[in-house]
Amino acid sequence: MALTHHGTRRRYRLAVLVLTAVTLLTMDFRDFGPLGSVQQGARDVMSPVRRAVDGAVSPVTDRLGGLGGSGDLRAENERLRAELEQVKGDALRDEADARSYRELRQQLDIDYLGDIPQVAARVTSGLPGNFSKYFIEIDRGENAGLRPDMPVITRSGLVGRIARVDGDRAVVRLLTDPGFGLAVRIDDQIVPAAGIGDQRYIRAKEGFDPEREVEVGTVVLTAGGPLSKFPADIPVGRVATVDRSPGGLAQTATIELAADLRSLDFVSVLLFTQASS
Amino acid sequence: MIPVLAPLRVALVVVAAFVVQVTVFAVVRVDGVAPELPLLVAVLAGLHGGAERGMAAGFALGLLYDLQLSTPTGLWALVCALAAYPLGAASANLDRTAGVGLWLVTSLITGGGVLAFALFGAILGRTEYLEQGIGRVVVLAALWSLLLSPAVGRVLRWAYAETVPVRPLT
Repeated sequence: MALTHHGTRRRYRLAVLVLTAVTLLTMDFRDFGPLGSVQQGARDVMSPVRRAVDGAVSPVTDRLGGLGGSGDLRAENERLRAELEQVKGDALRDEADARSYRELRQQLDIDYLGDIPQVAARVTSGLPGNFSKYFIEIDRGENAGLRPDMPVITRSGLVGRIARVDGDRAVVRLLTDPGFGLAVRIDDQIVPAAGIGDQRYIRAKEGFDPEREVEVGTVVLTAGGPLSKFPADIPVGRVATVDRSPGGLAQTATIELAADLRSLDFVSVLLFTQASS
Repeated sequence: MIPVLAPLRVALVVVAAFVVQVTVFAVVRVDGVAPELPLLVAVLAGLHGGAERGMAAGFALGLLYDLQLSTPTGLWALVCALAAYPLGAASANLDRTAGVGLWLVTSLITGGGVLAFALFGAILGRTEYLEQGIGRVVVLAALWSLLLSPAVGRVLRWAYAETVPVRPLT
């Protein structure tokens, strides 16, 4: 009898905990304001602790990384050498691109994003947990003027946009996230593009003019516009491959990203919002 | 001698596990995968404290973890509370609370918890949790648990002990 009562109470408590968790999940999905404030407060409290531990632990982890073995270092050297060659080749191609890009800008009479104020930020050692593959954390937040949805770039090109802002930290959603969409300009066609979960490529597969063939190597820029979260003309990458449907009516362009999202140390946040545009 | 209240010790362990997870284990990783300490603590809290207390501790720790992450709020709380149940329900019939067999079971439940988190997340629209690489995360998180189980188990045995004699301050 006592055992049955104990079992019932246990199931009752489990049900209460599950219901509480489901309620929290519902509030989260409905963007319930106070919950967001509680989360931000909790993260702000932890921020100095994380910074201190980060500073204390990183020399050790850096050293452990360096003890990965001479084989690893040799492989890394080879990879870097290959990349250097790649950069030399890219530099030549960039010259050609720059010429065509200048021509394109002159033709379209577009403003360059240099007028938009920027905040430089360092990418922190990493977000806790194993389910933040498409997010990075930076060491600037609300106190530096950052707001959600602001574009994040490197010198090479677009990286993503601010997903969440705390007092002195922010989380950036990378544009490789399959849930990340943006309008891009390829030649003078404006089409939607989206992340595909790959760290180097995104894809545009709708909205192309069937009469015009997209060429491999074409420079891809953000399209901008009143409804866009990004200003126009941020470099995104270049068209790497184009697949055409058998009838030739549909085209899918895979875009190789200009910014290397696998090794980000510093980024810039454009203090740009839809309202400010 | 004065007794230190068990709930106080459990709360201390919960907070310590949370701090270690979001600080040290944000940096210390193997092949990009960090341990899921909240899940491990929840499972072992069930083993040492019983199902009810284990679920409560797991829920609290999962909720703290949720507040720190970009994952849906309440998802880790749910998974950690559920993860505490199996060993918690079985603990009354176990004649020991340590040993290789139990550590293996603990690591299997932890791996299962990580997979459950990804599945629940996918149901809630975060389909990227189930993308290529989830198998590696599950396996490495389970191996981390196997490695950490003996030490974390000792801490939780201390936390759930009826009383702990300590020397009074003089």
